[in-house]
Amino acid sequence: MSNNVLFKVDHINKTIGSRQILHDVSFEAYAGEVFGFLGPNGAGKTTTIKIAAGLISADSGSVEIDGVNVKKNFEKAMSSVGAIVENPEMYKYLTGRKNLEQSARIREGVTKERIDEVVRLVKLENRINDKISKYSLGMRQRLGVAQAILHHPKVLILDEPTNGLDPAGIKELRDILKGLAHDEGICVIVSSHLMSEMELMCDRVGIIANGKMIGVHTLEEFTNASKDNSVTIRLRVDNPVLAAKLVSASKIDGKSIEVKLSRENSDKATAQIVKQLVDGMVEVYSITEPEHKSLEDAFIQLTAAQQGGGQIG
Amino acid sequence: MGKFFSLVKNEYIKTLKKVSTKILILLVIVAAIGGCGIIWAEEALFSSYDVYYADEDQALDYSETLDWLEETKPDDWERQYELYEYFDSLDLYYGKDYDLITMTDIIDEAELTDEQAKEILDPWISDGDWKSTLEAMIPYTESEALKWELEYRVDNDIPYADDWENSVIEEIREAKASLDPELSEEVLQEYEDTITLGLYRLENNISVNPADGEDEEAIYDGEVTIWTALFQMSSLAATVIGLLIMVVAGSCIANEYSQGTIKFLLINPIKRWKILMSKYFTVITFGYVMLALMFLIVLPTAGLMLGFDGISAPYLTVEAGEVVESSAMLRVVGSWLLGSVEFVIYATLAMALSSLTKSAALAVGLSVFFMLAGNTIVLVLNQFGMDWARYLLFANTDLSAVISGTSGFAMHSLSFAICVLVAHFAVFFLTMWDAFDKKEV
Repeated sequence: MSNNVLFKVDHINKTIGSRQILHDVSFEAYAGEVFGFLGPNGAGKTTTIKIAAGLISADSGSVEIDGVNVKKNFEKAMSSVGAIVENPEMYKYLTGRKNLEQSARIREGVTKERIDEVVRLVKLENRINDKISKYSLGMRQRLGVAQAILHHPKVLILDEPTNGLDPAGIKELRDILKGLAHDEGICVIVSSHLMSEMELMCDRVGIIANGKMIGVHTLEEFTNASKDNSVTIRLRVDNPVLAAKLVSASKIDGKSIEVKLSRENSDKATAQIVKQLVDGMVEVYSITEPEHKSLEDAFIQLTAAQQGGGQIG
Repeated sequence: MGKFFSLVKNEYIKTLKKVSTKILILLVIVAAIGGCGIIWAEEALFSSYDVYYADEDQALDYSETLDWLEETKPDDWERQYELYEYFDSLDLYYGKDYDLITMTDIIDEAELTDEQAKEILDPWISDGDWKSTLEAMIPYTESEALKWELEYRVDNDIPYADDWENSVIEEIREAKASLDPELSEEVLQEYEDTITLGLYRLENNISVNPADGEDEEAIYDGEVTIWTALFQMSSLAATVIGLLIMVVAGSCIANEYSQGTIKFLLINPIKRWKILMSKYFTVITFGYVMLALMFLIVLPTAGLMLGFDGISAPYLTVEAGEVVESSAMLRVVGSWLLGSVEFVIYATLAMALSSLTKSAALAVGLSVFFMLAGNTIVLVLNQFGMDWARYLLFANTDLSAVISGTSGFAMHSLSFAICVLVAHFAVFFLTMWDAFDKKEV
């Protein structure tokens, strides 16, 4: 992954009324990654995105897109952004194509061919000439994505894009977004409160709760950070009792044994165990790592301490 | 700049695709044709008024006069009685013999006997020789104005008829009859101008003076030309298009909020004020496009209903005793554009309210209320002697009334009205701008 920062939120604070919505929020997202912006409802995800898109202004701090300050040079910053903020709202009395044309007209270098291309990408070819009022939420969501990527943005910001999509639609969207990030090098930022969904889509996640950033990690780091400092491996062998004696297993379970290892140099330790078993004439059939803790659990664990704040939706 | 027009194109598409806009455009077309139709219908109604006066009424008129003379017996009643017996015996009809009836009135005024009347009217009744009758009448005529008319008709061979020359002659005669040195200089000048203008038209054979179309009373006089429709329709156009444009203006910002599309619009790489200006530009130009559309419908419709007579006639006015010709079409366009000042102001108000409240219903409702009730409010305030009402917007939107001095306020100058309008416009515009630019979406 390249370390080309395309999206940078720098110490933003925002108070609406007497309520501080964002507390010193900072994070970065890179070219070529899908960045998950996670948090429960009311954590400040949409507010952060609105500030990034220039819809509202921060009390302090700044947002830079490809090195351009959104507040100081709005037009230049926005020319490299595509976004859906909250719901994908379209002009209902216009057709899908007419809605895309609205965008195309005021964006640089969007050709008719490009419109056809994005329509194919989001699989709306058959319905593009229908009025939006006849679209389902899922179709509107897909058209929103099409409109957001029309002008080849460097940064794509999607607020809760899986809302209203069926499982097949979610998978399609996931593939599209991964493709855009990994193949075209776009920095894709996806906000969601659906942790399990993000787990499959994102390369890195930033977690926000109650207006504060809790942490930004790769998925792997994040999951592991939420656990203790040990790794458990599971070995299926021909003689579990003998094997358990040889390598001091923590558990015997039918034909398998489980061994707890220190997280540091767990690879070396695994090799060592296999060698000991083979030397002790035990046949090793398979080695697995038991299912790692899901992001969902980690998320709940991490944000539990921050909860108790508002649920403003 | 190219991007600005792309924005404007987007706004036009959004506006025109709405069902409400389509209905409003239809309304403009209906108003254009309907307005012409009403003028045409009134013209038909009032021009047939003379004929409508039933022949029996004429007979009744004479017999009543005879009864009255017999009963009251005023001085010289016998002479008059004989005269009216004679008139009654002629069996004159309003429809057919209108001019002879007119002549009997003159004879009555000249205090002639029935013998003299017979002598004078005979050539006309027996041979249709109206000229001899008029010539014979001249020495008996005391009024200078009437004398002028009779001489003019004889000299220029103009018989009584229902045409433009007759109405011009009548106008001149009436003006001449009204010339009274006791009158103020201003009023006298007005009569003099009428005479100068009338003579100019007779000399140059100008059958239609488009300037007459500006007079609302012309409809009731049955003197309606295409110019009447063109001038009179300008105020209807201002009102109808005012309503249309307020609906468009009041909803073009608020609807983006209510449908959530404002976010879609504002995340484009275009500064907010440019987006606002593209909307404002669209609203105002749309108003003028509608005004042009209405004009282009009124022009042929009025022509078909009222005839294209005098379409190329010059607009005649009298300045310092001289007749001045100018382009009538320019005058008409000018009066239509003058009416547009009102809808530009109210559209700006509607957009300011739309931008401030984010509610289309409130913005459209309030601005329509102000436009429709404004005149009444000012009228009522003025009735109660509250002269400060002249500072209100409503008292100044009708610039043509201000120019013609019929606004209801004393010493109401055009420059004062323009100052009030500009001040209101500035407030509306800045409110709209500020609200749109700062709003957290």
